[in-house]
Amino acid sequence: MNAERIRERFAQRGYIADADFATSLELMLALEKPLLVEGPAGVGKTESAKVLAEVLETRLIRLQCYEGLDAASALYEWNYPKQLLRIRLTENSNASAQEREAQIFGREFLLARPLLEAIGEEKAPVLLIDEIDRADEAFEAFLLELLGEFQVTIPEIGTLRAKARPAVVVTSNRTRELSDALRRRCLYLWIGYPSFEREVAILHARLPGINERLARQIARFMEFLREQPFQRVPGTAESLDWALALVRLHRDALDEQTLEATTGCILKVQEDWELLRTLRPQYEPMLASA
Amino acid sequence: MGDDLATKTVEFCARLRAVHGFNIGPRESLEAVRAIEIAGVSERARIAAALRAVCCSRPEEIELFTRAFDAFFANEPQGVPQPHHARRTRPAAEEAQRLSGEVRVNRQPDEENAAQTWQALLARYSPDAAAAGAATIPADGLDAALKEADRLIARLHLGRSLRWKPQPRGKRFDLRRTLRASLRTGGDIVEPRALGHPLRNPRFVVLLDGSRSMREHAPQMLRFAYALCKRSRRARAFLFSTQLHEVTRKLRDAGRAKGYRLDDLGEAWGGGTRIGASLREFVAEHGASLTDQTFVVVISDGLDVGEIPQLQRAMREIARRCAAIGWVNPHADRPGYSPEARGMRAALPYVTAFTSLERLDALTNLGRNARTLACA
Repeated sequence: MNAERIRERFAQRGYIADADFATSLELMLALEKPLLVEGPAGVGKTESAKVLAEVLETRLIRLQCYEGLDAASALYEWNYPKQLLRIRLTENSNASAQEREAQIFGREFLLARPLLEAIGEEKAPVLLIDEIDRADEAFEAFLLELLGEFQVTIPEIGTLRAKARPAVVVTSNRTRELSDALRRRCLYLWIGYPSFEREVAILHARLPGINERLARQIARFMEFLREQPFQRVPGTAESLDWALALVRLHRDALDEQTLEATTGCILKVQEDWELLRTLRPQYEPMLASA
Repeated sequence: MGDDLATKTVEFCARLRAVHGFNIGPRESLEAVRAIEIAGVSERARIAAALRAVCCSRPEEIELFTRAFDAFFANEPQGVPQPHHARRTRPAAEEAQRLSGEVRVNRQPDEENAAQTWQALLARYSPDAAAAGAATIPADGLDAALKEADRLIARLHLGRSLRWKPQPRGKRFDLRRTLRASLRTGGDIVEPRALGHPLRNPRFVVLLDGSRSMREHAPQMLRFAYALCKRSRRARAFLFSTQLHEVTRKLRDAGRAKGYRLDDLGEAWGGGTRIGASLREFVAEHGASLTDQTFVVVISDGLDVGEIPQLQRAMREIARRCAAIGWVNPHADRPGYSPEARGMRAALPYVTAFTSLERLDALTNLGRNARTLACA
């Protein structure tokens, strides 16, 4: 699938992608390499994988990373109760210890977690490894075999190879530095905040009913906000929330009152609210131009 | 694709590696060639995007890449057709004139680039040219510093991790290991196994004041940061003066083989001090690296010429996000010292441990009290 088609199909599903993004996805599919997506929070990193799965008409398998995530919850686990039961049931059989062990460590006792599932699929799924930076270094090292070779090793069974190579999207919010080894196994894409035009296009794509003037006002205001030293800088997700709120409130322009009533959609920290208040002289003309 | 372009691409990759320090090898070069095959050669922006996806692996590299790409493929009438090659309908004379004009126009930035590259190389390899933006880690006393770092890493306790690990006296019953152990005894459970939360592996963020007023203490400060970055993959170091600059990789790369110089520090070294603004920048750019297992060490004399409320805000934000802050002030040990500097006074309420460069072991001895200790 070439970049133009990717852009088109993404746009049909309300995801406005730029040319670099589409080229990276095209390469990722052609080279069968994982794609590492970094960028500030709320610019559509996770969404991109969801839409990719829709575009490719395949299954999305998602692994949300967190501190303490280990192989047992990401890859596979043995079904212990079932194993225990089987041991009890075959206690009086004449089978040797080896035979019994081989039996209870068979595939039917294996509980597949997201990563193993992704490898076992007949049709290549999209595997989203979300916020990898939240998992610890040990887990990252564990992922290397999977991302490099698309295979996993289970000591009792052996090495399992992917039936169809999944399209892997790895996202990171940069809460910590990822290792060079992981970076080298991936293609790299940085998604920043959208430009003014792209943000307007995104608002139109996601909220077909929104009027042009409001969309432009929101985009301009967000552009202004992102230059300010807020603790939590609002991303595209926030502008969409905000636009939706304004549409639901039947506002067709941005004014002081509306802004005050809906600040909670864009700024989520109390100190940021205070800072916004002090910025009033700067943003007032934007509201006045309504 | 022509062989020319393939060769050019490989050359470009080699250049990224040699001149700009990109972490790419033969495999990436090969992939770059394939990427260009896929992206096609008709559009310059697409080639750039394709090569960027393959060659870059961190955001800081993107700008470097763009400049290198523009310089390298600046004048490539054969290898990378420019868009105007598609419409060759002009008269030959005009075409020739245009081309010669274009060559002239194009060569200028090329020469400039060459000059810049030369300057950069000069700065990198001559000992004096870049003295202003370069620091040197003293080669002596490093072993002691490394030992000190080992102790700090081993003994700093920041509570327990959320991960479950096999432990002799854990809180949770470990069915999997118990079962595996029971196979040895024919399925009868003799030895129950348990899981518990292991102690947290602390992360470190070291913020070094690189201003002029800290010049005489720089050796000790750099030694400490060097040792910590060498010993822990979970440490990050930043230098600040009027600007903030991450030096983790530079510290890690330093050593006997490559020398102990840190180059290209720009305005993060040897200027005035804007602690508040620098910490503010740190929170904005790298704030996400502060977690409840991060121990932040600030090494500074607290002489801030910037706005104090800004420093206060930044300190409050750092304190809120990290496990504990240790502040190392070179003057703290002087008899009769009291934190009079405005910056120091503003920062102290957020500091867990306050010590001097001579008594860095005070940080180590925080022990399991790191979270609860109030500053003296």
